[in-house]
Amino acid sequence: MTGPLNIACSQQEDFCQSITAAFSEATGIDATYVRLGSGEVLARLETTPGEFDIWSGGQAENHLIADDRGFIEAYVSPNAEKLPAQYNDADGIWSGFYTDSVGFCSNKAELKKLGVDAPTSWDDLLDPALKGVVSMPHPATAGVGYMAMYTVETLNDGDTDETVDYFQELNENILQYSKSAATGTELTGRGEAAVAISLDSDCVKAKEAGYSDLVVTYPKEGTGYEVGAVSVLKDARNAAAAQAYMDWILTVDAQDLYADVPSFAAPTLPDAERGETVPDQEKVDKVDWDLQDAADSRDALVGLFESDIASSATAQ
Amino acid sequence: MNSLPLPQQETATATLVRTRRSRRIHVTAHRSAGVWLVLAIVLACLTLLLGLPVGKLLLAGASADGLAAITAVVVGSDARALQNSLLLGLCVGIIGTAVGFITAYAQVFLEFPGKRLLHWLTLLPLISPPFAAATAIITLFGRRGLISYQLFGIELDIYGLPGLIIVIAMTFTPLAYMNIRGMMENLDPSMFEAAASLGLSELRTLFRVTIPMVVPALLTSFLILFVEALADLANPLVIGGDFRVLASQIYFAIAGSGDIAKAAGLAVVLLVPSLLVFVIQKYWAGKKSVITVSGKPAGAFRPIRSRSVRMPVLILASLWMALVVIVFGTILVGGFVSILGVNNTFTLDHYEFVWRLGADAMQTTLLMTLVAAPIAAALAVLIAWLVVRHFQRFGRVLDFVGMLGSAIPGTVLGLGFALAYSQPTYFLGATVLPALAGGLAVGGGSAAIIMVFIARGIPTGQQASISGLKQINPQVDEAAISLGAGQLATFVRVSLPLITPAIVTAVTYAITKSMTTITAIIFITTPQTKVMTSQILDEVDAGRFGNAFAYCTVLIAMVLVILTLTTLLLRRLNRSKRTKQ
Repeated sequence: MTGPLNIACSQQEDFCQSITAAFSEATGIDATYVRLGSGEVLARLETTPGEFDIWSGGQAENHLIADDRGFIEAYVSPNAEKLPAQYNDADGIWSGFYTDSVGFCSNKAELKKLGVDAPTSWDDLLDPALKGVVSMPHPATAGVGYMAMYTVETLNDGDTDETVDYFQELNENILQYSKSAATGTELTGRGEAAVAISLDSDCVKAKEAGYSDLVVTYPKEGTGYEVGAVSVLKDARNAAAAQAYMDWILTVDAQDLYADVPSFAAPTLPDAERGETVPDQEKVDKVDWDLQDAADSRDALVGLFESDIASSATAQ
Repeated sequence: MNSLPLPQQETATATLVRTRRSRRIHVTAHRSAGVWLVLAIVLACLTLLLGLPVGKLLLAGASADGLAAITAVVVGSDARALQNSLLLGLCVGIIGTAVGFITAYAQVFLEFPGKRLLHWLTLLPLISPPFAAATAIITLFGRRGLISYQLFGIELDIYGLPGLIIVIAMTFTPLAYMNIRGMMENLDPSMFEAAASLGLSELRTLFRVTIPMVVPALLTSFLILFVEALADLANPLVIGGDFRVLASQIYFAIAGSGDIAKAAGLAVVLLVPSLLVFVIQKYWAGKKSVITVSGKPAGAFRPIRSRSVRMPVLILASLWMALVVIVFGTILVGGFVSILGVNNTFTLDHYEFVWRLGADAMQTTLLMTLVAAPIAAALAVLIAWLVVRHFQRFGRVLDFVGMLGSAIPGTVLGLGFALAYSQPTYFLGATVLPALAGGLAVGGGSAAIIMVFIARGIPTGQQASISGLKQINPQVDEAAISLGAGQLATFVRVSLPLITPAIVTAVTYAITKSMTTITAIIFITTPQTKVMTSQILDEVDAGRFGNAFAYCTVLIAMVLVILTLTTLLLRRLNRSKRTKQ
């Protein structure tokens, strides 16, 4: 063992800090983290392999991409069997320790000014009344941006042309494509934007932070969701500690902590405590989410977003 | 010890009547061992700081994917991003230089109450992290901005080009101010007396004498601002709207897809206009450079009294001051209220957050800055000395390489470091350096971060030092040398005291650049080495402006303290040096 356990943490800073500290306290293992978005972690694994021992957080499909590139060491925690089936990878690549969904995060006052109701359909976002007031995270850097794309792709039965058409049309209403998802909820809370495509958990978090006008709605056609995954990285210097972290984060004791952090994503263990304001994921209508396909389609869809969608507004 | 043979001294006097060109050749003809030693050290440092990282990047850019990205940006689907970047650079360069000129002019040539205030307010944006101003501008002038909407009821659309120009020009105007003011202060007051006695009005003196004399500084400022605007990443991410620029395209390529080849290709494209502007500046401004000082300016400027000069300058300067005050007022106040403009209740939560999560980062950042800044400043001054005094031809290359530190977009420089130093460095089969970047490296990756700080800190100091040294007539050096002083000693005892403003620029800029740099280190921050700016960007990213404002305030306070101490120390050193002579 050399030095402390090195965690690549793809959640919000305060969550990373609390959870890392709690892990050290519970296990006596020294641990330290860097907060990085999923895309950033993938890039770091490429440039500096061996730097991190474990990747904690970020959508499961990104962990699959990392595995395709040879960066993940399969490990099945003994605690994983208590998770519902959809929160474990069949090949032991990752386990899920939180979950949340794509939602529309709206500012009620702004919507009222514009004379529209909170969107309850993907088509509602195309309303000309919303011109220039919708915020969406960039699919390349923010998982939610890609989740939104993949959701629409799924709703179109995998028809990529229709997906591109939809986002080209939506482009008319976009204020800006933000680097991360939480930026959109902030802009909307402020009234700079009226609606953000965001994680429901981020929207509630912003609301609890003081943007009291925010409201979450979901598309009636169904929405995408994420399984926040944890995986042990290949050639970990602290492989034993990495496994211990994975074991620990899959305990009820660890997941009970989310309610206090507070994290507004839901714990994956059925017995873990869910905070009062945390969106109940059981009640959200979701599309069928094919993780492997979501991972495999990412490069192509993000590429199309860059070449055919985001550039189309400025190309006018 | 007199290293010059006697006949040489005679020619030295003889050259005084010859043209400037031949005199320069004379000075460079005899280089002491000290000069060669300095050159060797500087070259070694530049190779490590820029040569290896850039080399690795160029290799990546020359790959098939890299070349495809280059084609797409120049003639293909991404061409708009390149055009946008150039447009942004141009606007920022012009506006920032104009504001820099006005504030510098007011400072040097006008008497008015609040002059010190103008000085400090003008410098203030320099010491804040780049995205602080952007978040404040959105809070103030956004669609629901405190001023635009809540006060005047108008919906401004500041996302995109307008917001970017304001924010980036504001952030980097202090550099223009320092440069132009430095040059103005070195002008010879007797020129203005001559102009006055010839009956030239103060307005005409401004356009016929003052502006032409500071053209090199204006161009240098434009260059710096142009390059900074091209390279800036944080602001386009925060306030860019649908205005796509190359820097953000590079970021999305790396951070989003881990597509290093594409990012490197885009970076190569971004490098071309930066270098082009630099070449123009060298060949045009270099020729226009005027030697005006034969030592220290004698006497002081007579304050300008003409209303036709004073009024416009003071009005524009006041507007600038007002903008700075409200932006930084916003940052200050924003850290103490829940959500500025939405929920204005007083709270210490943000500071509690910063203290809890940031104490580590503050200590680490401070330590790394204190290591990096003196090295960066020393390298900047040494490069300038070699360029101006010793290697006229090769100096252009040296100048180029030194400038690369800021011409290369930060994200890409950081990526170059990650590529070059994540593994040990080998040369001819032997390990010459251990791994320097990443969590596996010595010192938890701090070595690479310090190196980035140095690389980013050099260029401005170098430009300022070059401008400063060019202002000093080589005859001053020659006099010292013919009196028997060595070339190094002449530099240390004669030239250095004369370019103190440039050295202050070099040190202060290196400090502030280190404390506030973000994009260049995103890819080399490690678990062991936490950096304040990257934590602030996380807060802005997460939409917690309050935490970001509190963090910025702490950072600004820290920089202010260090700068005050540095300036006092340098002044003291300079004074003792003068009294010794």
